[in-house]
Amino acid sequence: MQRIAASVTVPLAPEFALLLDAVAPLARPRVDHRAWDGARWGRTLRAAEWHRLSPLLSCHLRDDEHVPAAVRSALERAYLAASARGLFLARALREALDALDAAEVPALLLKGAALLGSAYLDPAQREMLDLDVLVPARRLGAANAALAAIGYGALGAEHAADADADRPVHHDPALVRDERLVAVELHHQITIAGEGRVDVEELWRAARPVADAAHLLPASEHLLAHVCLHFTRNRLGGSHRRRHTGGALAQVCDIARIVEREPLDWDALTRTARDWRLDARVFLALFAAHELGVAVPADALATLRPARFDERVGRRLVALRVLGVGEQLPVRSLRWMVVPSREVLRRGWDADPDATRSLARAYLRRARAQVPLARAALRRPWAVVQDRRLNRRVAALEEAV
Amino acid sequence: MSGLGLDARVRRQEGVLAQEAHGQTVLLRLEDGGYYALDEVGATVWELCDGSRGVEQLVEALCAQFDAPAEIVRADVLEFVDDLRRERLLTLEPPT
Repeated sequence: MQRIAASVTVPLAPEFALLLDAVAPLARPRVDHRAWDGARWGRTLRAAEWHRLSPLLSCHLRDDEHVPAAVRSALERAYLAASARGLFLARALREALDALDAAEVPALLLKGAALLGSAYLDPAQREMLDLDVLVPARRLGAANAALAAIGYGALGAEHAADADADRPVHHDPALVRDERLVAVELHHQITIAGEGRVDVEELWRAARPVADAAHLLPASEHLLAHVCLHFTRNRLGGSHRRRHTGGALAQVCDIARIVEREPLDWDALTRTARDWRLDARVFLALFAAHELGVAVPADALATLRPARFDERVGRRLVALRVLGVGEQLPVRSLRWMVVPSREVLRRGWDADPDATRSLARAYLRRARAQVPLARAALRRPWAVVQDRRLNRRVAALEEAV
Repeated sequence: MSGLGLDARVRRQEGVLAQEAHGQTVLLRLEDGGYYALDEVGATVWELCDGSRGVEQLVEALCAQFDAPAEIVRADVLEFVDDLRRERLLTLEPPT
């Protein structure tokens, strides 16, 4: 497949243009920051932090004499912190993988842990929140026991990665040690119910070995499909913890690095997306990345493009769900907000589904957690309306695939 | 320096991780998550602190590498090693 020159069609605020110059450089910089004032740099630092790109921006601007010293210093601190955290995570991952290997549990790295081993040359540029490891479903018990033996235990339900999940989850509760600095999520599947039809056996069959190690990395195409799936899930779903825009550009950066550095077979990627019935989700992520300047091949996009796709919907998704900063109420439906299912209250908020008082207490805990976001939404009612419309259009797109 | 002389051997503390990061070396103390950044000279000293050398030998190695006068290097190394020791990144051991 031919790669095309990437183009940017979505209007960009200057701070996002600079972030994208770090994520996916074009032949000419998108923005000239030489005359920026302190307020503009302040917005840039906030956007970089919200999108988890401060370490990357630090590297991008390190030798730039037009950047104020205070800005460079703030970014440098973020870079060093990410570097130190990366050291800690690398050690934690090595210990976890050694424990799984000793228990004869096959392990396949996912998302950030997999990307650090392949797509990122400097691990400090990719902030990582937790370690995701796929293990065979039949070995989950042994995997949990192996990690328990080195000090890992389950977090309380309220601290689960997605406390508001209203569908069966694809990984066990996050495991942490006493210091609570790193969480390990043991996956047995990469999708949640109603989200495609992933053949996990195929993931294992196509996995790549790692030199001098027992664990595996996903095939490049599977890695990209998974990152795309997550990007779209986070933009469409969300919860009181996961805002639509938080970390969105870091995920675009993941896509950019995979496209740039992984040996991708785009035909295999489109086949995988179709076989897994994730065409629309993978397409939306690649479309968004392409709109922001990532060199995604045009024919791969054309092959995955849903028949009823309207580019205006895609660009709206980018404008509302990617190029933002700060908290937004993740709009799903009125029913989800006001009348959560017993399953949501049980899974995410520690309720006993058969005890009315326990359900009521969980409902109140959940409502209290959502209050700041609800207030933010009430201040911008039109954004809520736009959000709901966008959700409906994307849902229609997925149904049409 | 804690009463130890220039022949005290300098060793990196266990439980401290190090990694090169964009021209600097980041040290992470695992016991509490404290982290530090070393420049090129600091990183060179850190690498030399493997428990086989005394402070005076560090000074000799650095003088040869950076072509600097011994008295200046010695003062800097003593201060640097003392800083790292106080931050629980290095230990000093009696000479063998």
